[in-house]
Amino acid sequence: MAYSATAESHEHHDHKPSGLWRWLSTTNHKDIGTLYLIFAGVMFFVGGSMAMVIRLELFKPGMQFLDPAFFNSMTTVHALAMIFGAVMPAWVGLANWMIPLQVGAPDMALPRMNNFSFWLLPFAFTLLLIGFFVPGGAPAGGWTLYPPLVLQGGDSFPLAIFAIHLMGASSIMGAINVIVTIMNMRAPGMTLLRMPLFVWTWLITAYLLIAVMPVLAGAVTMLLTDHFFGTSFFSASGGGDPVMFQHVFWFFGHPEVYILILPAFGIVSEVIPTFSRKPLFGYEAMVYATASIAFLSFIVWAHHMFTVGMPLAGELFFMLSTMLIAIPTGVKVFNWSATMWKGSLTFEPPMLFCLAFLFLFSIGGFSGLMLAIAPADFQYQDTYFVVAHFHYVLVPGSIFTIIAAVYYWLPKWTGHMYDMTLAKWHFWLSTIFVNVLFFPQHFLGLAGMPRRIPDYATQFADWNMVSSIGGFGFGLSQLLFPYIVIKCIRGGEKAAARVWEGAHGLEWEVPSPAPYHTWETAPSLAVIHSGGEHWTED
Amino acid sequence: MNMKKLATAIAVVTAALASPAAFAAWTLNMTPGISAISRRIYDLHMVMYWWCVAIAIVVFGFMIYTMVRFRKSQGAVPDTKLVHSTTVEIIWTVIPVLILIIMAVPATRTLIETDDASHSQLTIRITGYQWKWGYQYVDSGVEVLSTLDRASNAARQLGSNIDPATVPNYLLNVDHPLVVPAGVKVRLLISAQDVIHSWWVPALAIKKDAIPGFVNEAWFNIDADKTGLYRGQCAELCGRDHGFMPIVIDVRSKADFEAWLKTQQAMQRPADPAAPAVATAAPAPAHTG
Amino acid sequence: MSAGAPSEQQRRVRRTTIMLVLLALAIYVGFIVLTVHRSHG
Repeated sequence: MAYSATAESHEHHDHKPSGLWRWLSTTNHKDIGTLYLIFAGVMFFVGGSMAMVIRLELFKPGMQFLDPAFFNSMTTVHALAMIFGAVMPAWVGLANWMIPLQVGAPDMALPRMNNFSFWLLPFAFTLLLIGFFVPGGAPAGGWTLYPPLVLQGGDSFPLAIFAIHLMGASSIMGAINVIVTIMNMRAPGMTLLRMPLFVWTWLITAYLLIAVMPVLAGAVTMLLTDHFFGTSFFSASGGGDPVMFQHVFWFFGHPEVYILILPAFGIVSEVIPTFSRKPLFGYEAMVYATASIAFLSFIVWAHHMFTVGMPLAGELFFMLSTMLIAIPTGVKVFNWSATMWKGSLTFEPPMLFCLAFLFLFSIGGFSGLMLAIAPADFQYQDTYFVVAHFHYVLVPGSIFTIIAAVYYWLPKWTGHMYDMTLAKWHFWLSTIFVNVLFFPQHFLGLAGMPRRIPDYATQFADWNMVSSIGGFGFGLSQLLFPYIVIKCIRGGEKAAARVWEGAHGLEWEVPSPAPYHTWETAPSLAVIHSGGEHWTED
Repeated sequence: MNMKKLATAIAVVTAALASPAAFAAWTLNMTPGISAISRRIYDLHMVMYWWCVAIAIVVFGFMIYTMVRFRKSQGAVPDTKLVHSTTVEIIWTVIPVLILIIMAVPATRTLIETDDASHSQLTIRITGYQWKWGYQYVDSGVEVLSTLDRASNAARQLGSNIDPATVPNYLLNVDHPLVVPAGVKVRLLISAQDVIHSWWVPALAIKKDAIPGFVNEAWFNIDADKTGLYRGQCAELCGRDHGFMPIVIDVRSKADFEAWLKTQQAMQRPADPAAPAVATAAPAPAHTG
Repeated sequence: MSAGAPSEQQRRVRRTTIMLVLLALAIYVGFIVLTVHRSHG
């Protein structure tokens, strides 16, 4: 193995403080990656338990358990916890772990800032969750924070704003770190067009983050001054413009949803070639498609606002620009399918989750295309049809690929294989229940059920009950995930350096588990060329 | 199904107002609605739906075939040279472009049509409040305040122990519906007093945000034969009781509507011409708070 | 970062970082100014 000689000569570098101080003070990209992933996992279950509470209240018509205001807090904090607490930190964690390994760098470029950006997150979420215990209750104005409603919030309002500021600062620092690392720390010979697609999609995601997180920060700062310092940017009573907030918010918000999904495209582009034993079809087209999606994300924001009363020209522009997104997204789906064509397929857990992604994310794409049609959107907007749409792209989209990524690299991280049978159970239960949970919500939306309501008319009872059963099933099946991961950390069959037969890339050139320090000596050109994305050309 | 039977029975009892919009349970699809525009939108929705189904059959079919055909367990050998094909990539970029153009044409046409509120014969001002709707007939000055009906309101309280199935039109019934004429082009001017609401009646395919400080415009022209009750809800999160401010429109023939409007005018004017009286007699609508 | 990293790389890292921080700050301030301008101008 090309790597082991150098690894052993650096064995003496592996000293690290032990116990809690190691984790508080660490500047090691693998430690920080692990911290991010653990944090994301915890927030996934926090946000998930709120979803269970929501589905419990919606199990049948009538108010059984919750005050309507608390129900609104549940939907609001569920969204914030899942987006900013679970999915984004999970991607940053995977970036921390894998980008240095994949580009042949010894660590992230800015290790101390890396530590800081992680440790902001627990404080941010403490502030957010403290909201449940202050007068007025947790934020209940929706994660979209629309004024004037959000300005009616109680004491949790400033807490939530500060929490969002901290999350934003953390994300911006994480994004700067990723860009600086990719631009400056690649091993010699790791040219941009040799980088694995996970690195590419993260590079583009990081630019999106830098472009839009400050916009969100600006918007919530203005909300704060509207509430406490007598300004009236957005509060209508003082002559402000509440629609302006929506424009600013969605200028952040639409790129934000691509921030949640672009790294997922990267993961799928790693996993499908590995288990098809065939290089990714149309590598460059994939890079350009990702870049086009990122570009388009800046000019489609008002499709979230078709009912606010925009001028006709505005509605037309945002309808047509939104439809364009289908083209690069289609290219990606076709490329993934073509990668499998004439491959040699096996169906290990990471591949299974990515295949479910392929089908279910496409379903989310179809409903997205329908939602783009402005006149039809007058009927879909703010109904369960929208809820079904964005959960299809976020749960089997982002979350399934995060799970796939963990199952893909877990043996590399721990040095052990995990329980494949249980992981397959995890896959089948998740895939079946996620459809029972979210597919009926399309019907509910079309039948006329608005979103964000704690109780509903009796004609919506049947599908809500089905959806709730799916929800409980999905929630319970996710408990398998930490069990499988912890079991794998504790022990298991030894994993080889190249864990999967068809795996190519620099991360598979280092031993499993990956040593504390890797690539202190950059990989040789020969290793890069044999392990790189274009391995068949050589 | 018990509750369905009950709902039907009640609909029959209130014969005069028997709603053609009686929902069946397990509803799967959007209502085609009661106006030319709402049917256009429904058709657009169905066209988009069938396109998506067709594309899904082709794409998913290809993926499933691939997954079955090229299994390693069946001895598939990878063709590692197959990594690029300009022809194929051009084809799968151009075909979606063409499909999108085909989709965009009717969508654009319908959008332009929904935007044209000119030549309306009646104007109604709609105001959203936390948590009720105010309606004002601009020319006659008649005002209606529309809140969740008592039966639903009692049943929806936490721990009320009232089975929602026993409440007719649970959460979709109001004390004073918005009375509108069929066969007349009606213009709506939609605004709000406190926070953003959204006025949505699926049968009209109208959903328009009610925004404080803004006046939004919408319009409808209901088919002359589609008299009856149609129901909708607030569609924008507006605080604690967002789920409890339904909308009911009572569509009447032009003559019936005008008779109703005259009665209301007579009832509201003597009380207080500037601001209509609080708590007027029986079916009379109240003031705006 | 490993101690033996060439200072040229550290200089590049610093330069890229400063540029990205300035970019983020410019967007933050720029968007507030733009919004103020649009809603009151």
